[in-house]
Amino acid sequence: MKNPIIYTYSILYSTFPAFTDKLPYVSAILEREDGTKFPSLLEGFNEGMEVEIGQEAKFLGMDENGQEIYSL
Amino acid sequence: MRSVSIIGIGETRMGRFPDRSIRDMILEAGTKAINDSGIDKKSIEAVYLGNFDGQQLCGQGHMGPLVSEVLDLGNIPTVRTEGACASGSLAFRMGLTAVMSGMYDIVLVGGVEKMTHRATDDVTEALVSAMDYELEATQGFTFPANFAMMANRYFYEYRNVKKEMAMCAVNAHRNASLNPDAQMPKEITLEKALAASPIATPLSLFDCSLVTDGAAFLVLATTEIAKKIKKHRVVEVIGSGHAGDNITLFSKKAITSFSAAKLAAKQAYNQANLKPADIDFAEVHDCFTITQIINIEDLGFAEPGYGADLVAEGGIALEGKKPINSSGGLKAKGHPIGATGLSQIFEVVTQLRGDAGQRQLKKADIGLTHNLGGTAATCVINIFRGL
Repeated sequence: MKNPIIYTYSILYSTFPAFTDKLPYVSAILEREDGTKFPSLLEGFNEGMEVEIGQEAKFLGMDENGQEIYSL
Repeated sequence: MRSVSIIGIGETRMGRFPDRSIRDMILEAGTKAINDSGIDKKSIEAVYLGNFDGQQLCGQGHMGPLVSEVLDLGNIPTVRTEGACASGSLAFRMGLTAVMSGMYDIVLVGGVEKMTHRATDDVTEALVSAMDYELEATQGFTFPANFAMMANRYFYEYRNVKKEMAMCAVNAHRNASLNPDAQMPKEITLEKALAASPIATPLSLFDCSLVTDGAAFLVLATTEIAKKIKKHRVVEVIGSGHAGDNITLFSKKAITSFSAAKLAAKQAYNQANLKPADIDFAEVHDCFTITQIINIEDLGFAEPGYGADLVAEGGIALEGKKPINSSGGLKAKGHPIGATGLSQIFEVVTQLRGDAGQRQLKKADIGLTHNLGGTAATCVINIFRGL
């Protein structure tokens, strides 16, 4: 199965306490090949990195809740 | 169905008032609205109150009876409505339909929110309860992030409108500088807005609305009663629409326009038998500057993808062809969540009565309010005419 692509995204510099230690991070909606979309926190963002719509997200594995984790 | 009019309006100043209690804000705004209407408060038959986050931010629920106690309204029925940032408009809709239907002749509708006594991080966390907590908030999504994602998609599908977004903020601050109830009555320059620090790209500080304490109340009555009192210009509700959408951003068919807003607008325009061109001015939900540009398109004031052009031409200014947010909007008048929809109506009534002072519009006969809840998952649009 192909990796999903970024349908849209934002780089966050402000958030709520549970996510403060991850700042800055990328919130994104990813789109699978079949058109289904889902929300994701994209790992691996460093200041100055280019992020764009249409870019592929890399599958990293599953978290403890069985959620898929993706990175830039 | 009976025709309904607004006979009384009252609001607090919007701002950061961490020491003001919910009671105190209800007392001020509610008393002002009742006094403004000229009726005896004993004739109020029901109360509808919009509030979003009382439990989480203040530990206070059951706020309907709080209003009837504070305002000494006796044993009348009260209801609290919650629909995120559209909570106040839902209270208005309930009051409106109750009078339209003939159930009551005179009702009080209000909204109140107390927010600034809590740290910004806590407020951000409280606000995410208006999105899907399990699917979105657990991924670290915030409201600035959701609207920022709409903005980036908008830039991709149409064009980059970051400059016009900043122009929306400049317009809001200019109007707020003429509004004694505004939280930020201070003009800003385009350069300052564009140079502000990022919150969630492409949104920076001046693209985001304010965290606000405040309350706004209205007295509604049948138009027949309003004409008899005739203390002020009678302001009739000639159209009202309410529509919804999925709560999550990712599941929406499109994120560069809001289907709830387009449907609510269609209902309101049809009821009023008016077209977008007939609207003299509007108060729209500018929770973020990109939202204001999308709202212009959803309301039919511009074609999809061209909302920013109206802003760039100066069309939304007080002296423009379609003045928007003469009050300063959520951006600069303030965004007291549960009171916002009513604060918008307060401005429209003030303009229609010709009482807006330095920000008074030249032509103010038909005004519109547009209030969104959550990720554009609830929308209420109303049209008012001065008789």
